[in-house]
Amino acid sequence: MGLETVAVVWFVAVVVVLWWHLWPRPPEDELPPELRGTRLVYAERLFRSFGPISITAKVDRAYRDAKGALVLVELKTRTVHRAYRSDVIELSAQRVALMAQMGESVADHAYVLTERPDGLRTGCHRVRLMEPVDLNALVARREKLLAGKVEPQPTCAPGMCQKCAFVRPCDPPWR
Amino acid sequence: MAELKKHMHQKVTVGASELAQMGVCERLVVFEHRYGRQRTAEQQRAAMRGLRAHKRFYRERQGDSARQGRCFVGHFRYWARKLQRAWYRLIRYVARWLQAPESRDGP
Repeated sequence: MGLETVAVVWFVAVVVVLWWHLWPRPPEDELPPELRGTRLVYAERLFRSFGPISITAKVDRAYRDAKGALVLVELKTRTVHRAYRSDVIELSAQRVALMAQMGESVADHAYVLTERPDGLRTGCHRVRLMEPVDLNALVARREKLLAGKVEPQPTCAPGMCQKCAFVRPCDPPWR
Repeated sequence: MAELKKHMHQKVTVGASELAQMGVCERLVVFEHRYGRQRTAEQQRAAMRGLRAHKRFYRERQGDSARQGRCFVGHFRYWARKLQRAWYRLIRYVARWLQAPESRDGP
């Protein structure tokens, strides 16, 4: 085998290996198994509920599952591969707004798709959403907090305070 | 709900992301209400990363539509863009590799 042949084979092998690593994966591979093969119905669309409590929410994605219900998907960029309570609240608010505006059935579970800051998708988390009555109670508590009628509680995650711009005036107990 | 109406005499409008802050820290909700949203440099960078990720996520939906066989043009554009992006990434990778021969050759 000539030197040229070896060089060509080596070059092709390097290109194939690089291509394999650098080629972006198709979006379907990043979805949870439940949503593969389902239809994307809404993407980056704003919804609003009406009534005494009006919730506005932008839905990242909503897929229609086999039963006809919409399943929400929210993308989050973070270094840790997990879903937080704030994700559940946000998705629950999206659910309420979407159901109110479109009158469609939305599943009581949703998915948080996590992505690292370098753009690598790390996976999906299935979360159970809050009931609308619990969400309304949360809105009520928020209004009381803003009106100064109840004492705001500090976060239960002290690590959050290190990144917070209000850490000085707040002076949390663990500081 | 009755309790809510008792405390509020006007209509309440709230965004999903504002409400989500309640799951982060109640004190943060109050501070942001009083003094406006303030972000550290790291938080601003994270927000920009999030915006870019969402734009990319939105563009990827064309792949989803194409997968469902609803749009041939969308399918073609999606895979052409993927091919282009992969090609540029490959070129960048090879260029970086060629520009640093001393690091490959060792001491």
